[in-house]
Amino acid sequence: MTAIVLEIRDVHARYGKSDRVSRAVGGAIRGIPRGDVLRGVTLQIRAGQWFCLLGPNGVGKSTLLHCVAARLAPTAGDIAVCGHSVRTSTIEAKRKLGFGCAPEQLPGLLTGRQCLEVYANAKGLERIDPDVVELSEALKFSGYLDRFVDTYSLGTRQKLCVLLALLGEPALVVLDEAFNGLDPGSALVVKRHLQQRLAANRCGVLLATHSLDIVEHYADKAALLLDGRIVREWSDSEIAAVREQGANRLEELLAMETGSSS
Amino acid sequence: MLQRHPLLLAEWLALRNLFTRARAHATKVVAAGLATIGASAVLLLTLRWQFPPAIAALLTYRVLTMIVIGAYAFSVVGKQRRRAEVRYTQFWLAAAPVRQYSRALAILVVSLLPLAAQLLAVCVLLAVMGAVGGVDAASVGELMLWIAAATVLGAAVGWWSARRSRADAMEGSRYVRQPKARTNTVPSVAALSGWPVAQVRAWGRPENLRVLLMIAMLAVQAGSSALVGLSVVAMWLLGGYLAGLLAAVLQTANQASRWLRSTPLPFAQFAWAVSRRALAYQVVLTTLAVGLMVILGAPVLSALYIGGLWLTIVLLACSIGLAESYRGRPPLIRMALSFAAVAVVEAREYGWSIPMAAALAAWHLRAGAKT
Repeated sequence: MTAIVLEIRDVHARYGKSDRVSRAVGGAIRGIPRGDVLRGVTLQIRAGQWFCLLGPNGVGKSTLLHCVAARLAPTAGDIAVCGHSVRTSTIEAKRKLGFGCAPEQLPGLLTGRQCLEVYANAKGLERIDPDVVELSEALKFSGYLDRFVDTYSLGTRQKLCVLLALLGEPALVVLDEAFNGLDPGSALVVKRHLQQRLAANRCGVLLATHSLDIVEHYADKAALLLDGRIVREWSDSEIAAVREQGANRLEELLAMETGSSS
Repeated sequence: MLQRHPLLLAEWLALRNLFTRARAHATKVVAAGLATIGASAVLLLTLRWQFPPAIAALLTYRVLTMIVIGAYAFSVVGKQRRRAEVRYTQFWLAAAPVRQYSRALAILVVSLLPLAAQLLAVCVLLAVMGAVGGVDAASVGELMLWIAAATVLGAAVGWWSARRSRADAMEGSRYVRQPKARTNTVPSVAALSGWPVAQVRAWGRPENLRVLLMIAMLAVQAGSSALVGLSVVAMWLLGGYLAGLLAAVLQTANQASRWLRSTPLPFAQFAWAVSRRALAYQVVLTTLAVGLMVILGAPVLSALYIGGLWLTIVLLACSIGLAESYRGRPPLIRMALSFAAVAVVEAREYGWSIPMAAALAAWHLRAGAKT
């Protein structure tokens, strides 16, 4: 039995007290109190598992990832990374975590190399992992290392975000739409790299995504988040069964679950 | 009317939604507003004896005042026009069939509105200063008229001069010294300490520096010796750089904390890494500024006092900015309250603001370390 790298127990979270969200009410768009963005999310990820978090825009996927990365404190429930509570043992939990930040959060006035150096230092590393250096070469990122981040394209920034998330042999890799903007070749390199880490049980991966091909071909587990709750989970065998049923089966299932099928 | 001008309609809706969103955080907005008003009131009441001579001096040197304000209006409107022109070529409505005159109107409104708001704020401030300081309304009104005239004139020239400007597509790093290419990558936070310095260089592009240089050169009195003239210009440039460096530390603290929040980096290491080089520059350049003040004829003790006061302001602002950013909170309210407290202490006991600010800085840093 492999170790549990992430355990989320009945997590509730919100941004502010009186935040409002636009919803269709009686044919008109009105602002209604948002309340909790997450309403009792519970899930578990083991080492070697690629977990995909699915859901329409605005249901709380990124909020959940921010809670896991201790960027947002849950209002209730707890999150443990490798057994360390994000609330009470924040530093220990963060040491086990590799979080892929949003490309726009990268510092524009540092070079890619400086970003790697600062991030590695912030994680308390003594050297940059050789396989991260290898991955940067495989992604053809080495040529950008000494250029300022604000001169990077979206895809190049995304590569740097992935490299930063993989620094320091994290037991849990958390990625938010990490394949957006990556060219197909680079995306394949990243997917294969993650698969290698997972095959050796070096980490678990939590990926929030809209790319159903990743779910069908790479995920070991997937969950659908709707209105702050996990309403459906797919195991490895269920994903394989969906894959067998045809190219658009998962898309149809999601459309049915989210109520957006015509 | 707005229905016929889609760009203006989009801007208006964005502005309205901003206020609607602020209403959802009414408590915080009211608290921030009250803190700002309170701090301003304390400052106004503390400094009320200075207002009559300040207003009289502005009226005496009205030509210089008008030149400075006109230069500012010229710069702001020119910059806003260039920005607006670039923005509307990349706007989400760029492909919509918006008429040329409607686009020009939107650029005009967007370019002039910030300056108009600032002019209004200055007039309100002058009126309050006049009322609190007991200055007669005619003098305040005359000063307002001169300022308004200079603003209008500067804005018109700024608008006209920016008409053929190219799109401003320069990257932020364009004026930052490129680090040497290396082959080794070693974990280090050294780059964080260089970030505020790089930020000031990025801001110090020629189009921004020219305004400061223009004001500095206008501040040189006719008939001054070459040494005094150069010292005055150097003082202005130094002052601009030091103020920019302080602003850069605050901005960098905010951006770096957002970027590094998911790492186990301790606050002390974060704060030291972000601020150490900027603080060293502040100390060295403030010492240089004190020397220049002495060369310009200021008494040594006064020059030392001003230098010490500036370093105190830097220390307090950096401590609050770093600690609050690391805790994920906006630093504005604490900064306003802390500076108001320091100003009150300074008004009562000359020189006591320095230990008071140091104590407040230590308190804020301690709060940051507890995060």
